[in-house]
Amino acid sequence: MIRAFLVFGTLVLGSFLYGTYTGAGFVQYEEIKDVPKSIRNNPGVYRSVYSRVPHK
Amino acid sequence: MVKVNCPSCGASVAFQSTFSILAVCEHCNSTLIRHDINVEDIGKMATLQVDGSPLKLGVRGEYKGVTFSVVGRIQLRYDRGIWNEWHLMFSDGRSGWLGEAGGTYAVSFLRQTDVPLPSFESLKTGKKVQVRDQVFWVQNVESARCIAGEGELPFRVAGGYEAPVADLLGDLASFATIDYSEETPLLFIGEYVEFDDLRLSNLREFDSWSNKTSPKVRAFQCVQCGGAVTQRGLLQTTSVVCPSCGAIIDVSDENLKVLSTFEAKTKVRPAIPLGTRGTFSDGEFELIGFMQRFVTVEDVDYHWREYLLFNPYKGFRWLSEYNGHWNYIKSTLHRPSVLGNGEMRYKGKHFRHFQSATAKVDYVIGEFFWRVRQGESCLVSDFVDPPRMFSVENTEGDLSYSVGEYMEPANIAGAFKLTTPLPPRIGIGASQPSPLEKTATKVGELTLAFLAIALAIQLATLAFSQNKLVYEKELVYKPADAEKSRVTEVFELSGRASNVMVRTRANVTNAWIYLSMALINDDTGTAYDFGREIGYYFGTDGDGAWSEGSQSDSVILPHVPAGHYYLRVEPDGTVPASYLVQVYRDVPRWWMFLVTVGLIVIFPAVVLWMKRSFEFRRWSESDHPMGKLINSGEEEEE
Repeated sequence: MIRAFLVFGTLVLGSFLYGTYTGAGFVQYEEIKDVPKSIRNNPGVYRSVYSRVPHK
Repeated sequence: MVKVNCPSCGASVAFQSTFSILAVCEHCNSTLIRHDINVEDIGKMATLQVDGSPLKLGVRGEYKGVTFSVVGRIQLRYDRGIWNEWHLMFSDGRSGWLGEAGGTYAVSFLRQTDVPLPSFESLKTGKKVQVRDQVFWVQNVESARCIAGEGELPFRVAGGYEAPVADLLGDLASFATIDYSEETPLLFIGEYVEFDDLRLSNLREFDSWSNKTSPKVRAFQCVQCGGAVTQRGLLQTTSVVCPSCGAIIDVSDENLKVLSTFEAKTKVRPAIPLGTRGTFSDGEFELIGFMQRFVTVEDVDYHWREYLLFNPYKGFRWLSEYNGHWNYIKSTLHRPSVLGNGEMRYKGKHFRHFQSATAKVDYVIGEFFWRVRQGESCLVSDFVDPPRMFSVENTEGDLSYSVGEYMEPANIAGAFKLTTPLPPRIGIGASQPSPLEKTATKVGELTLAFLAIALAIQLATLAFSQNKLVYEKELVYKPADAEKSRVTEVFELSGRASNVMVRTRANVTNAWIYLSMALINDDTGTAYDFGREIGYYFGTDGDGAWSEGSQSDSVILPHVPAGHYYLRVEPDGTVPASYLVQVYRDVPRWWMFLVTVGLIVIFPAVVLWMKRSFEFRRWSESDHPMGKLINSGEEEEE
């Protein structure tokens, strides 16, 4: 039991350390590759994944 | 040392101690009284009764760092058997006494007192008595009879004289004896000691114990049924039960008088055969007696079994077995301290009251150091501090104490080298140590270590995180604009790949604004696309003022590599609004720390629950099931 707790605790602490270092989180977002440079001049060409999320 | 010639036989008789005034000639048994220049022969000393004492004249030992030798003895008979008072001559010139019977040893010294001692008639068992600034409780009051003496003694002794004595028990192992046989009562104060602590040498040797040969028994025929009866206790036992007819035979009586006959409804077979020797932490013992006792609780009889063990030097021990749980028990004369609230202290350990009940004997075989009686009963109170158990037995006001320690059945089997299985364990034993006790301690230590590491990581994160505002801009949203999307200037996110917090604030009232945002890496073209809504409403109704939502919001994007970024923001809403966008890099957070702490404490919480569950099952068998409090003997709901 002690060994199991030792392994469990080490994994939890390791995950905490990794998550803290890399800034891990659970926020909902999309990562999109290779968006065109032209967005800076014409922001309307980009279509956000979340632009059509229903809201009030 | 003074040597004289025996007036009767001429043999040399030594007076080793200056305190000695009487010596018994070992050749002709004449009793010699020493006067200033000569000795007086006052007649033959009565013959000592052969007993099982491991001591003899010439034994040497040590008490509190001072060596002594045994120079004389008075042999006394009292209700429960024979008691020897051995006269000690200490190397520092003192004279003392070593009381000995059935493996119990007590060292005492004659003390003077200015305060008159209580009369013999006024003493009752349990009465509190103060002598020489010490508090004692009367343990036993009875008239012993002197059988005989030997060696040299500090006062006149003759066989047959009555010795009314009171034994007093003080705190810890202290005791006092008041001897009322003289005109002025004699006060002896001392303490009970362990055999091993006396470092005795030149002891009497017993066949089969000193030579490690097979157990030696005395065999005789039962005077009632003629069946074979064996005695293993080397004259230290008082009664033997005939295995054939159940006659309880008084073996201290030369005619082997039958005291009574034990009529058992059913025979009980001991799990360990009589005559088996076992090795325990304090030496080797032989199983000589077995009894089954029971208590009745709510019309249900609960039986347990007790095995009497014997060693001629160390006396008696007990093994008790109930539902397959074993305790190794030793009588003690250390008086415990009663702490109240169901607790008592013995040798620095706290014991909690477990159970009290009237125990009766319903089956016996073998031999015992007292005269067992059919149906004899006593009030037994058990106190536990696992793996220890402290028991108080009250037999018609006569209190006796014993302390036991839980033994695993495998250790019992190993001690006796048993090949047959012992009774299986059922439930939890009263003094059974919790298997989680050590585990819980280690888990507790590990938990503290893990929490300390987690806290250190969190503090380091707080100390070394950038937590830096890297961009801030206020933008305006107008629903009528043809193009509502905006892009910000490029800003730099530095350092390792870590989080980015985007904080927004909008001056919306009773309205909402939805921001579709993308954090775009200007170098690589990677976009982190997300959407947030800000809505704030307030008003009044029948319950008064109310509000809902907030004018600000924040979101944290994880693991964003360093680089040059800009934000694309596409607002949507029904009313015009201005909104502030702020971007922070490498923001420390608490939620991960809290989740880590939560995960770590799950394990000890489970262990604690299991430990409590074990204790719950243990105490469910007691007078104090868990969930109830002990209060002055009455139980109250928690």
